[in-house]
Amino acid sequence: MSTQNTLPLLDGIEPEIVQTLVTRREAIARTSKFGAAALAAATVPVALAGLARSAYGQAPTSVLGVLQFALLLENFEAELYKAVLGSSAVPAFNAAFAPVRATFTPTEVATVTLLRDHEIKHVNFLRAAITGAGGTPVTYDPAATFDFTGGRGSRTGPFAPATVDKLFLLAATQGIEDTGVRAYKGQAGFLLGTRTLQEALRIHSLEAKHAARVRRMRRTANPSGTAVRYSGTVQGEGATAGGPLPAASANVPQASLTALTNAFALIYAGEGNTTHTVNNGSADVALNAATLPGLSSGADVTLAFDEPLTRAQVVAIVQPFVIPTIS
Amino acid sequence: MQENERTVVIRDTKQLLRPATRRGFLRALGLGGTVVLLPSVFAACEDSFGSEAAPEVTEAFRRANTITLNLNNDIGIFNFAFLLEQLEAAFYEQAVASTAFQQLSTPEQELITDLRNDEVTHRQFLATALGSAAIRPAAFNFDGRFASRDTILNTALALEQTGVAAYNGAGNNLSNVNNLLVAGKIVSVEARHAAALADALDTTGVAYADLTRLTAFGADDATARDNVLEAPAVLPLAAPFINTTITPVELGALPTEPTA
Repeated sequence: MSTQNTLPLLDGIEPEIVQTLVTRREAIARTSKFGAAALAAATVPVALAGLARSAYGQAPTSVLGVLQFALLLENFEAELYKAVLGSSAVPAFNAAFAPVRATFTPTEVATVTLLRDHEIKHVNFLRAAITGAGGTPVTYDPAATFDFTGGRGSRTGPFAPATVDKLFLLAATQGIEDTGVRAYKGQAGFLLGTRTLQEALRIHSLEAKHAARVRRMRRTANPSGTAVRYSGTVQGEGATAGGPLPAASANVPQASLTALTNAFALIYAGEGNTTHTVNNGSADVALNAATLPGLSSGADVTLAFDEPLTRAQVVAIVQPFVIPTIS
Repeated sequence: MQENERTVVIRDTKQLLRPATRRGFLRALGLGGTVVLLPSVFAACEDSFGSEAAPEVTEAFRRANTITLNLNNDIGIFNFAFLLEQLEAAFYEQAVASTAFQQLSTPEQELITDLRNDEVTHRQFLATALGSAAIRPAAFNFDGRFASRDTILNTALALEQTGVAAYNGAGNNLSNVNNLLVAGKIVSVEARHAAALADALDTTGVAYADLTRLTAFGADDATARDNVLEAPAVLPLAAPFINTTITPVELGALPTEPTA
């Protein structure tokens, strides 16, 4: 594609998007291992063509904006797992999770320790990436930033049973990891044409591995709850895609189960979508996976595709756990 | 082959390790060129059609059976993914029909059946998406891989980790945002599969995402970044399962007639 094609393409893109694209083009030119000329001639106009708002359903954001958003989510996860394991810098967090921590088997401790260590490494990696991209990573004071009960600072929110009940904690953890998977998927398009994309993809798939392990722990604890698959995949959408919850008890009041169900409805909104759009080089083509020829008998195709969340959807999910308003 | 800086012919996997070839590969990739992977690449672990075969046989084979993957456009990348999805789907279709499948526990049977369903869905989706641009169906060889529960689960695990590495490695080369999103929708499912299989084989609680065991797939534990491999590094991992001696893999035509 020649550079002359760039202008008509830009004409078809909403005005506020153009500035982002120009910035990205400069970023690509700086980071290209093949040289700016080759990419300017080939990759960039193609990338531009795909970035119209209609193609992705969200207004684009800057690479730094994506990284800072990811940094907040990774901080939340890392601080949660530190609290669960009793290694938080906030003594009150460690004390809060002491009851549930006492119920962990050594294998469960090993699983959560790996979760924690990965999320800490993601925080460090993202901080370095933001610095490397010319930005300043936000430093979060965990006590002033996070409330794992979903109370935005009260520390008595509806998710408080996670500190005492393992199955409630695991259900919430599954929701958090799946939110991470869907959040990265929703942001990846904004990184198209940058080196940051591959790094984000590698974090994204690791979050999916985390989610799968948590799902298997939940299913093993409740073998009849088949909505949570041994394959770690997500079946259907909305609250049911989160899988069955433990019954109400002295430790887990009904209001908390309702809050978790409502959170699942947000976390798995649209996850049952079966129509996926591919571009064949000249046109976008929407294909419904549910009606493909040659599917296995009895297959539920919603398991085979994970869906993205927009930034706004992710903010709605995590805001109850983040004390300051997420801008 | 005619000297053409935009076409790089890879005849065997070792060639990918030679600096000149790698430079040529990267140059072809950067300039919009074509990378031709001859069947010998896929038969790297077999003897009958290796470099020891009679030249005329080898040449006839090459002409009739060549995969052309233009890794610089989305169609070629999706065809590369299609090849891997064919491989995975074929493995699971045979696994669920094998005698050893009955050795699996009920949860393990559910696991492998889900994976069969998902990979067949991926295969059929990519086949439909690619339409007339799709490579022809490949043939596969899983000799000995259905001998027991452990060989089934371990082979499946290797295939899924390969898939995660391949999709993560291909993401940077996709140019269309919709195609990137579709690849993203699939790769996290592959990652779930890999974690589930690792967990099914595990007693420690960490195998689901133990990146120290995944360096062969490009994972980096120090920064907690998952598998990533470029296509030339993925293909040798798939090669042992791609059967070129019984049913030749015939997946397209050379853009330029090879002169051996």
